[in-house]
Amino acid sequence: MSYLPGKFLTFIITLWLVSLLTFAVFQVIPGNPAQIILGTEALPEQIAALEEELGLDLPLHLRYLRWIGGVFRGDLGNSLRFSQPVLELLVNSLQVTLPMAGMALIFIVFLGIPLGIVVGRYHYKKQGLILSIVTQFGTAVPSFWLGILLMLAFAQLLKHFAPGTFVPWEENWVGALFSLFPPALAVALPKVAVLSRYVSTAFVEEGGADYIRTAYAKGLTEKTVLYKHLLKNILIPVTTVMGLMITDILGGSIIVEKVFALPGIGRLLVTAISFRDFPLMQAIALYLAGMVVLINLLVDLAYCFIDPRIRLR
Amino acid sequence: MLLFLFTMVVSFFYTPYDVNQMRSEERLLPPGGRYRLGTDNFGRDILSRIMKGTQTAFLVGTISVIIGMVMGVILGAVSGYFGGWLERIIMQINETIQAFPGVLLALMIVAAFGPGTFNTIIALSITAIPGFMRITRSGFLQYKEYSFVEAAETLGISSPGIMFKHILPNLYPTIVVAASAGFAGTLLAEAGLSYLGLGVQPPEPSWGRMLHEAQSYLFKAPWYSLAPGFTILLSVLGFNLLSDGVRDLLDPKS
Repeated sequence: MSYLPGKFLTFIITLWLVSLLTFAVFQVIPGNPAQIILGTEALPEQIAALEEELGLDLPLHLRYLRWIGGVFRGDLGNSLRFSQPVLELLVNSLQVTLPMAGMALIFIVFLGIPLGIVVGRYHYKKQGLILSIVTQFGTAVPSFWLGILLMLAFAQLLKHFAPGTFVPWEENWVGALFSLFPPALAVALPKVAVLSRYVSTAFVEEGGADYIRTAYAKGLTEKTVLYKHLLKNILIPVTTVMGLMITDILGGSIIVEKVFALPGIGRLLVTAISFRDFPLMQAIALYLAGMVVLINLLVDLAYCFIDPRIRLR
Repeated sequence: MLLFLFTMVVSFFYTPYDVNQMRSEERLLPPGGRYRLGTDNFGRDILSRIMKGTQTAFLVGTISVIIGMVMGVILGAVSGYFGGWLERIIMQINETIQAFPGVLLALMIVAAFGPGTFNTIIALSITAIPGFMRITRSGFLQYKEYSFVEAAETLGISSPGIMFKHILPNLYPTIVVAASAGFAGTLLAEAGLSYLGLGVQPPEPSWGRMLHEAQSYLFKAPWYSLAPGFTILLSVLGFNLLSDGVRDLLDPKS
């Protein structure tokens, strides 16, 4: 099968399997949701009535169809814990998580790639070695610990910074951005280190290639050679790593949000798990995994733009 | 890394103080004096708890990596050697597992089966499978074209024999590198889960859990969050370096 249609097919199949798996995992959760909602003193008739309302009396495959049908209509059911539509909760928390993830991604790209180039250029010198030791440490830092440390540092530096508070966007968007800055940094810094190591390794390996020597021999300046010739050729491995990183950001922000007590998707998920709120858990898991599958597809599409030869494979 | 192993072995026989003994009159003492790294909010010795936490980390890390490795290697070997529809199915399963960020998968398993050390291990094992699978598969794709494999086939050696006796040993070094890096990743993941309160359960000491408790006393006792954090950092660094070192040793280019 040719490249693009094959990728689209994988995308659809994976998405379907993801929905199936998400559904299945939450079916084995012990405890009857109807019982959880109504409490221990509910009458059996009440429980039966609610079970019917939630569709719990239906066989498994019909329940799946009912759920997935709802997903397509934008109806994810009601949260058991918050008695609110799941979609509403999801949209609210995404207003926190998405900007934070975006900010982290900006840090990663705009710090990681230049840092990698610098380390790569000074590979055989003392500065390169020192920077390389720093990034080696950076890759090993747990982001949530970094979050705790940043919280401590920010609170000491800026007296008015109250850690663990989120200013809503409607109230003051500058304040909102400011409260997302430390968590985004905590998520980003270890990834900056990882990306810069990839870039510098690719840089050193490609640096000895024939086309680089030719470019220099043509009398091109170092800048042109580095940014026009070399960077283009290391874009493929960098794109791959970036794709994996976005997945990591989505996962990593779950924990970092908890550190800063941000009302984002991570905190919603942890609350949902603690209260066995299965419609909410299902929706969040489906959303996160769906995002990853989508990003993988986008990475595959990006390959085609970076290297048109791939399309012909 | 050696320090990590050494600390773990020592902690079986000796910790400076009893791991769970609480001394209410000696809460949140700063480092120095009788307690080298200070005490926590229950008056427990932080150094002793960190040492004991090494056991937890090692147990969870080793078992998860081994399970993930065995599963990943088998799946990778089968898909790489046989190819065809079997490969397609395995790759599709792989793709699906990878759609769930590690933390999410672990959280889902914890949500379904409840928190605890055992479920943490299961969750982290599954997360570890795709990495091992990928490298094993690519190794098998490469080696099955070699003439020694053809020779073995001509001699009538069974497929499992060729796969595990002839091809797999060539991949041991790569797998060891991946295992060491995977161990570092598992340490981080376990700390994260325990930090969320969904991994290893108290009173069992875990570095992540300690960080969670320390955060409540961040301004009163900053040293409490420093000690477990540095321990995680250094352990992960150790295993990353081990993996890099082994790779460099095997790579004739460097």
